Amino acid sequence: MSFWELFCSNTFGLTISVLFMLWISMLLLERKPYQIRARKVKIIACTILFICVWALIGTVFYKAGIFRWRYKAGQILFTYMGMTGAMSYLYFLYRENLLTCWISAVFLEMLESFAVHIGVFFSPNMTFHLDILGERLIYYFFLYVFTPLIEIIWVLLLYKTGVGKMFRMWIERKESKKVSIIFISLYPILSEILYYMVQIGERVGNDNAVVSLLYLLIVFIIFGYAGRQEMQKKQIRTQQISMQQQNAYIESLEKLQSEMRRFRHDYKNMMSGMYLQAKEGNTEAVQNFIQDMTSDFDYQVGEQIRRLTQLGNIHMLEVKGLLLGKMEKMQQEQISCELEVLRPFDKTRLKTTDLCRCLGILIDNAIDEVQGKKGKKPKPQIHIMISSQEECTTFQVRNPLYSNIDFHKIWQQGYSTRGADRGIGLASYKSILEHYENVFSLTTIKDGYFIQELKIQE
Amino acid sequence: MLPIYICEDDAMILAAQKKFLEKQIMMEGYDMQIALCSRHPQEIIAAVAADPKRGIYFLDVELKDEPMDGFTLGQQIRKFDTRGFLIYVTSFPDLAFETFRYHLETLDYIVKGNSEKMLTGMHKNLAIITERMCKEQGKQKEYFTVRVLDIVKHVPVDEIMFFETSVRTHRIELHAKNDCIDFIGSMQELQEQFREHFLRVHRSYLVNVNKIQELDLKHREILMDNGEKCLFSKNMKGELLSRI
Repeated sequence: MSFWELFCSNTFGLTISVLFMLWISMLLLERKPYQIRARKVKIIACTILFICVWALIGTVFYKAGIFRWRYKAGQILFTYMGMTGAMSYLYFLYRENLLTCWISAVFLEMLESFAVHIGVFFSPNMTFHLDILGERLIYYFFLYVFTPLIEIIWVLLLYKTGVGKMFRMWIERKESKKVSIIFISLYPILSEILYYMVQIGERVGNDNAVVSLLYLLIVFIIFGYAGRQEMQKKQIRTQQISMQQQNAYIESLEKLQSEMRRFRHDYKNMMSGMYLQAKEGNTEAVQNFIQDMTSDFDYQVGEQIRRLTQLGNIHMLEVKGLLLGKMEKMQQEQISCELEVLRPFDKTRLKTTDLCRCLGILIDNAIDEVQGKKGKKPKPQIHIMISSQEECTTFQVRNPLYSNIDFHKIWQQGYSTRGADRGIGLASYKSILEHYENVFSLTTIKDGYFIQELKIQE
Repeated sequence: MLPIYICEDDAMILAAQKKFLEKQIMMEGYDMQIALCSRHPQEIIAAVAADPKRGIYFLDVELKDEPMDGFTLGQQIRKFDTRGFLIYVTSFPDLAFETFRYHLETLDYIVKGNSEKMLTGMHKNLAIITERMCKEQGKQKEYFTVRVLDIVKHVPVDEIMFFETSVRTHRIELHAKNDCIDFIGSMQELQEQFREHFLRVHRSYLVNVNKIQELDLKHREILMDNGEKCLFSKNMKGELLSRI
């Protein structure tokens, strides 16, 4: 077979496997490539480049006889090169961290080689003489039709078993996963050793599929076990948040109750006074009294009731928890906080973690500005509004401005009106939003107030 | 002549409001006239739809036994009258005024607990409206109007520094003196719209030439009046220098 022919058939085969790689990686990472629409041309070009380079290296290796090195060293070398290439490619596509890309690349390689082995397992005999047309056709059938079929089954299986979720959980885990990473990374070497041992023991050449399967199962177990652990931890965390929130609720209810009791006491006294006034026919005094009583009620109990009703309209647990936390902080700093949630807020298209990070940044910004401004005019107050309308959800954070800030500079990394390390917030806020097409951010200075808005199209 | 509409489900309060407003209009000689007082929001909507022009609306927030509340009524009115003055009258001071103001651009929010305070509030609003109408007649500023999902923003053109393309497709960022707005748009269209004072100095920037502070020819940077910087491309240098 000539160099050129080999290169072409390699390219063809690789195109198929790269397409599968794309598909499986999307399932695994559970999202589309970073800014796929804007970078369409770049992505396609990079994909073609990746395929060509890989095909070229494969062809050169084959022609140079590197694959015939002892102990399959050439093949292992080639696999590692391929995996490194795949890692860079995935990094380019998804902009995830390199470790995630590496593990994904190894995992994809495992799936691919398993599919190939299964294909080979079903094929008539092990070695094909590529120079004979008939055998070459059979070889191509297995390589380009049968193997992809098995890969499709794999993908469906992966999708059904939710491996992507487990994988993500495992990646998000912070504790020592070094051993697992090394174990997974050693896959090509270890599997070759395993094949070798199986071949010696059994003297049957067709057990490679079993070996791959074994390896895959072990990896599955690692992912599954670690992933589940992570899931449990997350559950505990959400439970903690909800506990915290319930405690805060109970506290404010108790406060409300004690205020009600005090009010009832006052009101009884005032009532008896009014009774006397009414008896004497002093309508003006009675009018004044009613006036005082209503405003007193609003002042004493109204605020508590108001806050509880507004919080009650937020049905997203994490957001509620975040707001409760921030409100507590504001109370400590003696900043008054107004919250407005007119309509129930229960879902949005932004990922919950991203939403919480964004809201946290906006509120922290506002706190930074009004902190320590007690007694100044206007009084330090932060107004938070969450408004869910049918087609969009709006979050607005408003605070009074005490100094003339350089409006545009707040977006720059590291800038803040209050020292060096504080202003990272808005820069990362912006970079979170860049992942979403349907989110809009607005900032305005109006009548001495700084207004930050986040609008999400639903 | 501005028409006044009142929607209030309590007949007594409605009558009191009407009487007070009539008296005020006569005494102060306002260029206003009471068009309709009703307890039913549908009647108000029908009247506004039949004769849509800028008006003044005093609306109750809680409407008992009616299919819609004051907020929905406001949304309906805004469909016909985008520039009218909406004033809400409510017995609950804890209602979400900011939300009302944000979505409906309401002028004020009056608490009706005390009838005297309520009427003073109404009087104050009539004065504010008159003042605003006078101001508007005085000067006509040029505004850039941009829609971001459900709201519309008006930014004075002479406050805009530049437009910048975003990493996301079809997204533009507007940088102005007091605003930073992220919206869907096309540079091409903006360039057409602002032919007079704006120059496309770079693939990503459309700059207001009246707002340029200085040029850094070496680094090909433009410093704007508000301290922001943007880039310009090599072949725009000549035109840029001739325009400022």
